[in-house]
Amino acid sequence: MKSSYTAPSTFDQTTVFVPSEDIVVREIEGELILVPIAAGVGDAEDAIFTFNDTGREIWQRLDGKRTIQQVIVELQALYDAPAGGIAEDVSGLVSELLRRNMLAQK
Amino acid sequence: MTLAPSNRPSSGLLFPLASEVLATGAKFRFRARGGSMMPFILDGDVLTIAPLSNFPLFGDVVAFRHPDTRKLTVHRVVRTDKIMYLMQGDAVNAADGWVHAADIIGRVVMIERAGSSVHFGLGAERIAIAWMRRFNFLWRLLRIIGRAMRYL
Repeated sequence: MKSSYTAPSTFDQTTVFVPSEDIVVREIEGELILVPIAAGVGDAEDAIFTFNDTGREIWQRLDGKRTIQQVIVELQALYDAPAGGIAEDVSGLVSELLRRNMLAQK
Repeated sequence: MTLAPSNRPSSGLLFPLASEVLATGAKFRFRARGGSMMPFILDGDVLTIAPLSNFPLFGDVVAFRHPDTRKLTVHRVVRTDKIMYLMQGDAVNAADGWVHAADIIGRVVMIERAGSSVHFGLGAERIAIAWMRRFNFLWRLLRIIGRAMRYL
């Protein structure tokens, strides 16, 4: 199934992303917790993040094997949702992760 | 919101998080809870732990997995025996027990309190503190100093 919606984005939807090397991700008690490492310090006091369910599904697909477009198509099938909403979620999360240096282009 | 700031992890969750961060070679920063290391570390102080570059030494303040609770604990090395280390809180009369070197994940390198860095208890004085703690006269000395200061 192909998505017919092209979400507005600041990056190319054919881009493949991978988690940054400067991040520790750990599932603890069912929650996916991210600790960015900045200036050689993983800060659990001021900079620790978690995903909601949608965020977790997006994050797990940003594994260096899928383009952004492929991630959108997979999630559209998973949630049986309009492409526009899914694309917005994906683009929004990817933008936020890039801003926080938690994601890198492969 | 798909990505959100998380609450501070509970003490039970800190050990796996700290272990993974330190294993990358980075330091780990978190807020201490409890008074077992008073007066050198207070409840609410923010600690920075660095990965170990060598075996812990007598007097070092280290982060380890507690032998009973299995939680991340920060206490002082008061005795060593090859790869086993006896840990004890500065304000606690009983030692934690012997801890294997593999369960010690880092050394405290910074204490932040009310926006300032505190180092007392981490420097050369740490050896004297460990001796006094081990032979149970640390708090006797602190009480004597406290009484003396009232007269100054």
